[in-house]
Amino acid sequence: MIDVYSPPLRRLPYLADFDFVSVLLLVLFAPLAIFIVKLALSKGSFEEKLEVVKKSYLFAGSFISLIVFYLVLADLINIVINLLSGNFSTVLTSVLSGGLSGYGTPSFETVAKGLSYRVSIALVFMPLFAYHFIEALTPLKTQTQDLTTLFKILRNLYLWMIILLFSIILLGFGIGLINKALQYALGVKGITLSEIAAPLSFTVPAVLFHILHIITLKKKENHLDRTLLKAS
Amino acid sequence: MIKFKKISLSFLAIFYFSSLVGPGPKKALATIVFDPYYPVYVNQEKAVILYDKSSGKETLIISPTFQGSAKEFGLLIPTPTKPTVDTVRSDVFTTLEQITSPKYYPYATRGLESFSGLSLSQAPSKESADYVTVVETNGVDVYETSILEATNEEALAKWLKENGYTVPNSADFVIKDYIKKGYFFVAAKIDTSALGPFVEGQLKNGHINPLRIVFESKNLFYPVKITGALLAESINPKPRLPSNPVVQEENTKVTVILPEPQPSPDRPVEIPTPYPYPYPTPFKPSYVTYTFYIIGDHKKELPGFSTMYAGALKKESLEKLITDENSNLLLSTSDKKFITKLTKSMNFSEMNNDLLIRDAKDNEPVGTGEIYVENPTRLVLIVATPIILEALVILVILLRKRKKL
Repeated sequence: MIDVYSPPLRRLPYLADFDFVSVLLLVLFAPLAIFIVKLALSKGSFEEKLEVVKKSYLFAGSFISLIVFYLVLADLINIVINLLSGNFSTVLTSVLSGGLSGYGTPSFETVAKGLSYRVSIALVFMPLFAYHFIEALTPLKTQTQDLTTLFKILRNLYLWMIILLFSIILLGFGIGLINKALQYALGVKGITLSEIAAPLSFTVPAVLFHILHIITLKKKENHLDRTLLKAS
Repeated sequence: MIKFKKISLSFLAIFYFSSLVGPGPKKALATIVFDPYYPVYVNQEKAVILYDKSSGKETLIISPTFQGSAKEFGLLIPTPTKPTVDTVRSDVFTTLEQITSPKYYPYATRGLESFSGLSLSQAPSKESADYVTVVETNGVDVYETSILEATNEEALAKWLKENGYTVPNSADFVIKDYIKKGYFFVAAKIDTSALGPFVEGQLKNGHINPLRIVFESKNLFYPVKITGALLAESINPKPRLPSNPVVQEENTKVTVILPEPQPSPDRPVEIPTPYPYPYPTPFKPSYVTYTFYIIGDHKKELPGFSTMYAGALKKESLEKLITDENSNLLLSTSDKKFITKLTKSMNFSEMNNDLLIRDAKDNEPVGTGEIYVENPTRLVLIVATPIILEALVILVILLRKRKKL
């Protein structure tokens, strides 16, 4: 008789919340996409339309690289904390012998391969994000008043949406982090550093990106105010 | 008339004995008889092995499991130096089983049910044989133990026989080898005063208090050679002939007629129990499933053995390993120890040497739910350095760009 230890399969929190994030992104960015399409179809010269298409690409590129960079960073922090805390737990979805799946402890080699893969992604996506983000936020070359105003609205809308997105992420994981940290401090049985690692790894980069976008927004708004003051 | 008796083997141990044995040593008659209708179970042997490298002190805690009658139970354990013998609480094994439960899917099967077998008959005589020195005889918990030192294998066999143990001829060379090396022997059996269904039940289910044998050894070893010889014998039994058999020769056919056992007040002749129906398929095992919990300074390994668990023993785990009613601990909680659980089903033909347990290459945990990182700082540096460097480069580029603007 084969005695199989098969604890229930548990999903990591971000996997459970990922569907929710996707829906949220669709709702948030749908108006932005419509706005970009309207800009592209508006009256104007070919250069202006090209400029709009270019900016649209830069915003989209900035957003995609930001999300990829964020998820990879969160994953990296999670793995490193788990490794250092000595309580590594992960989900093995692969079918083990006997057709069962469950919790598993991967070998160091597997984790090391995963780490190097994530570091590689982070190294590629960090400059990608930096480039797209900076380029997307630089003012338009064309000096058409309407287009400049529309661009500023688009930029601020983008920044606010990213801030809102990370605010929602922080609401979820931040509360989770405080909750787990308090339980850990109170000595609740079963709460290990590994339990705290997941919310912590999603909170820390979310805070960083949240701050980055707030600072950028404030700077751009200040710049806009100064320009308006000068113009007046 | 030949009476059939269940024969089984216990881990290290040893001796067969037939129920044909009469009331006294002189009338004793040993032969190996296998019941063709009774099932024979697979052996399982469990032991905790502690080793202190600095002092060379090895501690064997052996949990005997025996399916036969408690009065037939006996052990013979060779040790390189004079041992001390006592018992520990049987829940040490239960606690160790809990501690070493893998935190992940184990690929190994659970140990097969064990049977045991061996063989004692009556209380040992107080006299020792010519070349056997009974160093110590003690009553330890439910056991009656004797520490023996022998200079001659025949003398030892004689002593054992006189004391109700029976060793097959084929095991003599193994015992001779141990004697040559100057080994001591621990012989143990259940005290006659403790015989009864209570102790028998504990013995059958592996809950009898284990024996703790402490001795000095240059290497961490576990004796299996005797078991191999006895296991081989159990498959192809060749009875040690009694001293007074009647041999009748008819043409070329030789018949050995064994004397009838004589009933006595303390040992009545046993009546064979009716065979169960349906008759189980007879099965003679050729292997023993060993489970070792080895506690030392380092992870251990044995060629061919599966490492079911390996990890540092935490303070809370050490606190659970109580050995007696006075809550004495197996190990001090300040000790930093590594526990390794090794298992293997060994065929008797593999048991040609005692097991020499050695240090593993590394202390990589198995089944603890932890990942072994030899140098965590190096790992963090390798992961974080390129990301931080790249972030700095981007920052520098940005600052330069801003200056230009």
